[in-house]
Amino acid sequence: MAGRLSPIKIRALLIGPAAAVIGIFVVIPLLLMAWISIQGRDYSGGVIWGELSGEAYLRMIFERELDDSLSVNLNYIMIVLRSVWLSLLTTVISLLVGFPTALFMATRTPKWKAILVFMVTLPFWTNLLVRNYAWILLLRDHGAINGTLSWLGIISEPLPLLHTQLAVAIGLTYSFLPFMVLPIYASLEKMDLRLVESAFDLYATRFMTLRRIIIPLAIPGIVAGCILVFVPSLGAYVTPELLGGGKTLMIGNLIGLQFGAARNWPFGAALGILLLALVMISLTFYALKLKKTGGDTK
Amino acid sequence: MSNKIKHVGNARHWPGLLLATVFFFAYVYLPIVILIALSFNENRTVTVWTSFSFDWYKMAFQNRDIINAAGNSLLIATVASTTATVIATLAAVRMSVDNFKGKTIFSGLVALPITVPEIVPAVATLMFFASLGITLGLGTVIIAHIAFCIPFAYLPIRARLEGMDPRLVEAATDLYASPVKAFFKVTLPLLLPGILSGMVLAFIISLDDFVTTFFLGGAGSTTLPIYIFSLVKTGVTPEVNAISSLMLLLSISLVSLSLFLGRDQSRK
Amino acid sequence: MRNNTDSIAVSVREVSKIFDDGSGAFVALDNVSLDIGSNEFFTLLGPSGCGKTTLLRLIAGFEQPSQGQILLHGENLEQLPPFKRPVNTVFQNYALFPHMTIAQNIAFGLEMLGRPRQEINSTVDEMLDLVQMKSLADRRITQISGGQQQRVALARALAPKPKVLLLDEPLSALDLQLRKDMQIELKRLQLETGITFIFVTHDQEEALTMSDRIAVMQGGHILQVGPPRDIYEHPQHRFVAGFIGEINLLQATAGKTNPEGLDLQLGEMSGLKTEAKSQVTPGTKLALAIRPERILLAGPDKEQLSGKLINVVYHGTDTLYHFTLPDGQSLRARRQNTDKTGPEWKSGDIISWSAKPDSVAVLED
Ligand SMILES: Nc1ncnc2c1ncn2[C@@H]1O[C@H](COP(=O)(O)OP(=O)(O)O)[C@@H](O)[C@H]1O
Ligand SMILES: [Mg+2]
Repeated sequence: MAGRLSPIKIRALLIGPAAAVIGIFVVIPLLLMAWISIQGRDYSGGVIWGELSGEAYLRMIFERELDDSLSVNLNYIMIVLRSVWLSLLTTVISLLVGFPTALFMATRTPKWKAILVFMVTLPFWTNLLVRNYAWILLLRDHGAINGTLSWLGIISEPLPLLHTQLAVAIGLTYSFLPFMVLPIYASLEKMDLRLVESAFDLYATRFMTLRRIIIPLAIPGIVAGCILVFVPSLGAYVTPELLGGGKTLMIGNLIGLQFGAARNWPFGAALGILLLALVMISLTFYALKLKKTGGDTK
Repeated sequence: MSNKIKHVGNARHWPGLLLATVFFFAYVYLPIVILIALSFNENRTVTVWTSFSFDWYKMAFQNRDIINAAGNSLLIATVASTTATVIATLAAVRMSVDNFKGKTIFSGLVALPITVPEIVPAVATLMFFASLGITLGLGTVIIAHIAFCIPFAYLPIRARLEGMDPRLVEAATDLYASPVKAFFKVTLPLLLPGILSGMVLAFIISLDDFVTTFFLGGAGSTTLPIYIFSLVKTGVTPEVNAISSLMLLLSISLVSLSLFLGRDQSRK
Repeated sequence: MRNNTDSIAVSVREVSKIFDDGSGAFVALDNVSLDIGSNEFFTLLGPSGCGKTTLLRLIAGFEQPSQGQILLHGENLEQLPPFKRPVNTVFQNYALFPHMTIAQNIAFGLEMLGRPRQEINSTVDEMLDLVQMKSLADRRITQISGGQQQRVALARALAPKPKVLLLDEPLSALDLQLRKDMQIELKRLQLETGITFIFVTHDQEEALTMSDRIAVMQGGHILQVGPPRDIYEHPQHRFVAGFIGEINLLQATAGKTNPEGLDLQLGEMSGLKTEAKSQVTPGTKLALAIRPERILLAGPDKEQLSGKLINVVYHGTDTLYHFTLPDGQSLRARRQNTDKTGPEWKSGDIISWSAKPDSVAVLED
């Protein structure tokens, strides 16, 4: 062929731009963040370059007193633990709500399956901020829920719903629920319904069939769904910002604060690294689980 | 009773599933429906329904700030999604035929922006730009949006390429088409719906983004989500309901368009 | 036989193909040589995985041989990419372009060759006529049946008038009746166009009914090449004998060679002859192959060759008789049902049989 480019040049031309954009504007910033997390803090915002310091990591557990001694401060650790706890709670609620729905969808006719998948997917593509905002309308003191309850005469004083951990859990579940339903549905959809019928045929009760046939088949989807809900919940920013109050901060908000009012880059960076580490641990756990169950990786 | 007996042994019928599913969809859709309903509520106190009105929409459309924010949103989403789609298409096409050492690394890299929680790359890029002395604004927002739009365009295009019968390209070369012609006559036309659907999805993702825009934006880069956020933070007004409903409607129509474009007729 | 190079369309010379996907090398074709004549309907026959598709892909140019050469009308095809080879392929699952109409599919090759529009239009019309698809010219590929897709794939590959047409199991996706019709249709097209067809199939019956010559393949080797009748009547290998049609494989000992043929001994039993091959030392162990329908059953009168009837299976047009020979080997014989009742033989009867010397093939391995 005339004027043929070498494979390396073609590769540089075609794959290069994507690699460059992600490399320069994602990977390098992440590396920079790791570096900043061990730099000294400049109190006017920013860092003192070249001054190595573990202060940011110390700060997660200790507080430096005026006399420079360290005392234990569990406030930040509590935020981290709360994030993990709320994410786990979200994952469990999503699983409890999502699994029956996925099973229902998987046992429909092809036409209904398509419609239901569309209906599950649709909200995911709508604005996350707006969807969380909608919950404010429901949860606040004069919101739809309290309004309905008091109209029914069940309550006289509005229930404090907004700015609670419950509100955050509801919001997170609401945000990431499709991520639970779709993978479970995908693994159940492949299931041959005759498997269930043959279990019935072999004297299994519905409960036994669920436990011995359906759930084992759905395990790869369940594991994937749990990860897909847990990871973004852990790093959530919008939901706790809108539905949680000052007392329900999560890691994401704490990170955000360091770049706003607190002006503490190294600490923000260190928290970012911590969040990344938690995500990595979850993903590794997922990979191991997948290997064990022999599920198919995407 | 007779109903119960009829379904014993029916693998499609499980007690309670329908109820759970109804609950699921109510949970997912009711808040959205209430939001849209309230956006037409004439009453200012928002929660109590008084009468139907378009007032809040009228107000929203007369608000200069909202118009500006909408303009920014559209500008950012258009530039970011088209750029990202072009970049992603080039990479996906090459990745489907190329074999090189760093291939798996690249695959992981491309997915990075959607693997890690958005807040992390957002603040990391913030520090990156700030360290370089780059002023935050429309430019920085657009660059960051391009980065996270790439995987949204790349992954569906790649999947479509994987699903494409390699015999089709062989058939084209068998019928005297050079590799370049085969690409433009066969691969690209078959890929086009996937590319367009990927682009629309990237557009929605960019349009809806809050976190990245919030941290990387500056004066003059306020988008609709940022504007809505600031309104919500300072106290809810019915105007927010109106723009929020519009945003939902826009996303829903776009995603329907994307699914329509991306529906795959070529696979066996 | 075919020494004249003009009449040889494709010459495969000592070609090997080794696939190495990193986890180990796999020899898909092992030193294969083959001459295929112009205007020939040539069939590659063999079980799945024997390397048929690989050989076609080498000829088409989708793969390069690891060793050896392929010549097209005397010209070495090495280095010639597929889009420069005057060879077209009908793919196994057709590989029709789903984004084009039938007419656009057929026109594709001609457009790529840069033919003038007028010529393209008239050739497309001609091809549509040839495969009787005229009325569907503007249909999309997704809107026609499997059999129709098959015809379009044929027309598309024939339109550029290639020197050689490669067909990779083109009929395997069709149901039985359609397959029978298409066999006749393909043969007609080949005769009408005079193009060399290299046809791949794993269906022995299809190969026998359509081909001028057949190459039987197994495990990357070509075992035997010849006209259908030769392959059927004189299989040289146990595999060929077993793969094509039904056959009895017997162990025998060579006896004297005399003018009518070679005497054969089945255990203690003599009376079977085969057409004389080259000299065989008496006492040599031989593997024989005899078609069940070539066994002539004489009835219960004691002749030299006999067997004990153990099972009778009625098949409508014929009846299959299972015997055990005195030396313990089993033998099947087929007998046409020329009348309603047939002979009243029962299991346990001793039946005498015979076979003409030219019905008895001696296998080489
Ligand atoms: N690209 C390839 N890489 C590795 N092995 C291959 C490849 N193509 C074919 N093979 C192997 O070569 C053998 C012959 O394949 P093929 O020619 O397709 O057989 P057939 O068409 O006779 O069924 C098979 O065992 C197949 O697995
Ligand atoms: Mg094959």
